[in-house]
Amino acid sequence: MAAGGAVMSVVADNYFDGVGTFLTTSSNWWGPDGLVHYLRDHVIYTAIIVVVAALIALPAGLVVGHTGRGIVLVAGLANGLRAVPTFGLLVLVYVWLSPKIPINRHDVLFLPRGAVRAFVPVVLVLMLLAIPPILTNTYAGIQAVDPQTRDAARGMGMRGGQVLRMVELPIALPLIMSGLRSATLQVIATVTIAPFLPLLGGLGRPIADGAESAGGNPPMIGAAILVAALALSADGVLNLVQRLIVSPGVSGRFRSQPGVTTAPTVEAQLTVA
Amino acid sequence: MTSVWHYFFDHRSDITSWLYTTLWLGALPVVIGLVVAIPLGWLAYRYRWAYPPIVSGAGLLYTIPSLVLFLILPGILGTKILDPLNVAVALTIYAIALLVRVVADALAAVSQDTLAAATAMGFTSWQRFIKVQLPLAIPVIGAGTRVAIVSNVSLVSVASFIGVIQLGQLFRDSFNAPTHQIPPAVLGVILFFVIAFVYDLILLLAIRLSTPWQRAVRS
Amino acid sequence: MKRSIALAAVLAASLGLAACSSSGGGDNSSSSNSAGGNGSSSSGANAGSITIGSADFPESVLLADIYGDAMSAKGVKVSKHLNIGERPIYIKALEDGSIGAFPEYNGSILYYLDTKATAKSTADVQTALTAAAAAKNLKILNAAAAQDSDTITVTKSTADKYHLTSIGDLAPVAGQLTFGGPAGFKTRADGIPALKSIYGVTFGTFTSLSAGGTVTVTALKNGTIDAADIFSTDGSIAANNFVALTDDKSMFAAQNIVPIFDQSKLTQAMTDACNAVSAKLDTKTLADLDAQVAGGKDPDAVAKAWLSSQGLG
Repeated sequence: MAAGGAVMSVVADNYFDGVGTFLTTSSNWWGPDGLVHYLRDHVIYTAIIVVVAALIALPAGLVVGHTGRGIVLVAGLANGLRAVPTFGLLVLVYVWLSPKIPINRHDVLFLPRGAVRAFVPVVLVLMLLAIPPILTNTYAGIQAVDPQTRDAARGMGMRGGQVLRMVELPIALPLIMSGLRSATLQVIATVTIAPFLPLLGGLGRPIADGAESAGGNPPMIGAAILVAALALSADGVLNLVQRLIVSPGVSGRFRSQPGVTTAPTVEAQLTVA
Repeated sequence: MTSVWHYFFDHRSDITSWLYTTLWLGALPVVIGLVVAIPLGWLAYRYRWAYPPIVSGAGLLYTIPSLVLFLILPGILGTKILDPLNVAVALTIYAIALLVRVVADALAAVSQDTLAAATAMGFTSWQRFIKVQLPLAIPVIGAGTRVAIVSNVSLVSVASFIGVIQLGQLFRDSFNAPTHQIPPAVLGVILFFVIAFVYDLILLLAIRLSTPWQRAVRS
Repeated sequence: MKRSIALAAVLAASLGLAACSSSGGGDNSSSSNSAGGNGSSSSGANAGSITIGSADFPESVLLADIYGDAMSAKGVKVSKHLNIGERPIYIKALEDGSIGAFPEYNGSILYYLDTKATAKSTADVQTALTAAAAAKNLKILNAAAAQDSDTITVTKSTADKYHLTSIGDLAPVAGQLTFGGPAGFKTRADGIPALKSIYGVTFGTFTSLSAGGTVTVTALKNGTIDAADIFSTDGSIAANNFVALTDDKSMFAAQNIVPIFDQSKLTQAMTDACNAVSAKLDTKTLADLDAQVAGGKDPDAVAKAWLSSQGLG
């Protein structure tokens, strides 16, 4: 294990000037300026953003997918704002909004003194990134449920809400989870811009700081590697969650014979044109 | 609002050329990305063991910060650091990263019954893929592509790292002024919004046109 | 059958639009990337050709225009690649030959190339920088008198509240204050360590922010940070009624404008042209020219007007 690590460190050193040394020096990891601190902030910011986005996008996607209405408006709006360069939008929102947010004179949970003012714009802007994948996948997943299944559910006496909760949602779950994973990935990748605002942390800090000196490549690339590792782990965790909550009947989509599943279908009938 | 219009009018030749650059840098990487993502997604779908490495691996590409990518790509591609090709490649990489999972999941979502029926009707594997499975996966792939293209449009401004100016410059102009001007930033938000709207509409149209069966049977 | 044709048509249309846009919109350069003047062909025999770059803030674009236009007036074939976003990129561009010249700030570039440097005065910085640049096959020319230096800037109300006029006045209160400055400030010889050793000032909190950017100005204005590093020629100091505390003990390193060149591309004509400009460029002039650009004038027009008024263009 140690030998393998040493070899990788030498390789990383040669190819990526000094990254290996950077990552294996423990002083770079601990302390208020350490990678662990940045990693912790990065995880917390991401979690908050994705949760808030899901709280908005999931109900919206479920309602829209179930009733089939309003999707153009809702999706169009979220999608449109998302096209604005995230960094430009962030600075704009920060300039406009931060004077209106009360300044926190003491540390609040994970945010140091004064950081709330910068954190709120970050959440608002990055939420725009996370909502579209969750929203589109949710409504696409619900809409893709085989109409015959829906019909059967109604035939059994279920009312609208029950159909949604007990039939459509479980069947659409794989696609919804796919949307959540995509959203999480994008947020992890983009939260790197948070430290451009005052008093915020995250793995973007070594990247921003690394651009300031000619020898700044190791921290930049080191942080980038950590971001990738974080994305990988987050995806792995969500994968586990997906396995746990998606009913086995539904997830049988990878088996060659469907059995008694009604896997999400994307069409009603094949017509011979 | 009139000041926004005035700003546009005063700088219209600059803004027009920035618009062109944004339009094609916004679309082309996604088109190429889709072309690359379909075979990759298919591989991930077809071989179950390949799904985690391909999908997660592709996803990881999205997490590479653009500044770092611009510093590394010349070494890999053999380009000079200011070559616009670096931007196109970087954006294509991000598009692929977003699309591979969508393609794999969309292909998997097509009903096995349908595929079985197609084989029973005599389609070869290739025909079945092109004429049955892929078309049926279009709605979900299309939804993912809409997210990808809008994502990509917002990323176009990273081109300013190497001096390729596009509509992101409007935000710079707004911020660079000592008391930052509002009109260029508002104009920027509006223009990006419009671009996303138009691209979204084009994709919606394409999806509609290519899936007539969805409207044929109402659920 | 029909739907595949329709789909193909939409795809073709969008690719066509893309192709059209890319050719109709021309290359990726904007109007500010235009090739510089042509000069007279006969005297251009040994004048050489060069691509000058700039960073993406107005003063850098202005300086590239000034030096670029001055060189082309002396017969050099100049093209410009402006608005390059980050220092690692344009330094790499100098190294790989994509650009041949860049208008830099001598203290800044010295500390970028050598984080352990300690030079402060213009003369010392120039000496140290000549060596640091040579290590990368780069050459610096004469420095201009004009400097765009770091400052420690506070709002008027902060200055009034604590009676601040010079940096040293911060000493009794700095512990309660938050300072926002570039990341390198923490370890640079003319940064936090110098604040402590020369003025006895230690801020309560340090947060890294890009010097003088919109975020910095906003944070200073609304009180998130109490003091910031804003560059001295930045119009936002006057526009927001900020107070740049005086650096009476010369804590900050010099930040003279100095053109830096790829050694292999440098010709005598370029050297002469740039040195002539640097001889006439002082801080007040630079601030005036900056103000004209901030007022909405085209940087190239401002550059050409000033050069001809000085007989350099």
